[in-house]
Amino acid sequence: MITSTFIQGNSFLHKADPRLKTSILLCTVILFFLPLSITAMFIFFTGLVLISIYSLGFFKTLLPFKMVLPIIIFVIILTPPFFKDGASILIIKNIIILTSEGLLHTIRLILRVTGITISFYIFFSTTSINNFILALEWFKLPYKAALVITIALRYIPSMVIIYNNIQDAHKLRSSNTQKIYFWKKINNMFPTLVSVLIHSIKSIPILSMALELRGIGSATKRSQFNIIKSNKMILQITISGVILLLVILVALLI
Amino acid sequence: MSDNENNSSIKNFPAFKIASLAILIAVTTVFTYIIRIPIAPTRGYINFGDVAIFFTAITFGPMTAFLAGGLGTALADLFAGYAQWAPITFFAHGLQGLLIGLILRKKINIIGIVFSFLAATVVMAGIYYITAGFMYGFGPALAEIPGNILQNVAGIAVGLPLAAAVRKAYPPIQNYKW
Repeated sequence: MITSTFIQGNSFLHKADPRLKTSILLCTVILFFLPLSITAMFIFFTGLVLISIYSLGFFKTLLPFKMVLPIIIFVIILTPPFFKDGASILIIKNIIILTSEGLLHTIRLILRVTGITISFYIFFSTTSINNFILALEWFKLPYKAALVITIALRYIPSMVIIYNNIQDAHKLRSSNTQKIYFWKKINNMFPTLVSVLIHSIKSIPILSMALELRGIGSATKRSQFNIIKSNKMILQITISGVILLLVILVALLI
Repeated sequence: MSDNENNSSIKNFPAFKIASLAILIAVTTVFTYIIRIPIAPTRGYINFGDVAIFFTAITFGPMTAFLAGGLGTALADLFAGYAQWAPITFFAHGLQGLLIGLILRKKINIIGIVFSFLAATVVMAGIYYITAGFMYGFGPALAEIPGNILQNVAGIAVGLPLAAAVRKAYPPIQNYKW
């Protein structure tokens, strides 16, 4: 099971501060919802694609497009019929299928959904989950919340192994499970799910005792091994903020 | 000290809450991301994330269901490559768990089950529909509604008996609600 989307690399995005990247990601999403012109959206979108190709490579940049393809097909099929304003572009048997307004709106929606998808893809491909959690902590995410997510991330791979082992054990006891109906499949899976849940729940008291022993729940402020240093942060934020503002201004003016 | 007394005292510690949340988030992520049943006619699949949410809401209560359901499914979205949906998933499934937990908190009867199912479906499918509508249009967003309803049907159909079976096989779990 993949429990990290981080792709190793040495680009400027890999080296950039995760707090800065988190802020820029948020700005990018907001930007795609602003009433920009199609040209501005396209320039912004192309910039993101170029950054992705530079940081992650051409073939890895294709992945978010593949993931978003079904939605794009739905948008192409279902958006134009709702727009009747503008010049008619496609008419079949006296029925207006596509107007200029419908075409522009469809392009806008495709750019928005693909742009947001690629922004998140670039962020999580160049930022490890641990760094992302540290960034969230810097943005005042409570320590206990960060700890819960960290423990869950550590536990997920072990739970997958437990699930596979229990499933294999149950398979050995059951008859042939090939070509069976949906509800029969669920019925066959039921004992596995019960076993997995009981196994997981039994580990709660043990884990909580281990956390107690490590002083979790104590009022004393805890020290941390991994922290993000703040020296370059202010400079990076200032430069990026100025660049981002300029991009937004230029985009709004185009 | 009996097992039950031991469990009812341990659940008041912050460490117990952290541990139970972490384990249930992992359970929800694995149920969403790994346990999937294909549906032959449509070539789609049903994941068991909603099963985990129904189970958590009934067994551990509304707040645990809100956090574990929301974060577990959001992490599954993240690992599956749909990170852009993770914040929305957190609220959609989190509120779904919270509502089920609140409605079925006191007593589990047929009216409560139907009402919780309807409330959870409306909230979860509604949040996804509105967000998808803003992101890529309200027309295309309609296509997602049947899948979300089907997920909830599977969630309640499997989640309820699963909670009952786990309670029967492991009685100390009844003291874990907080």
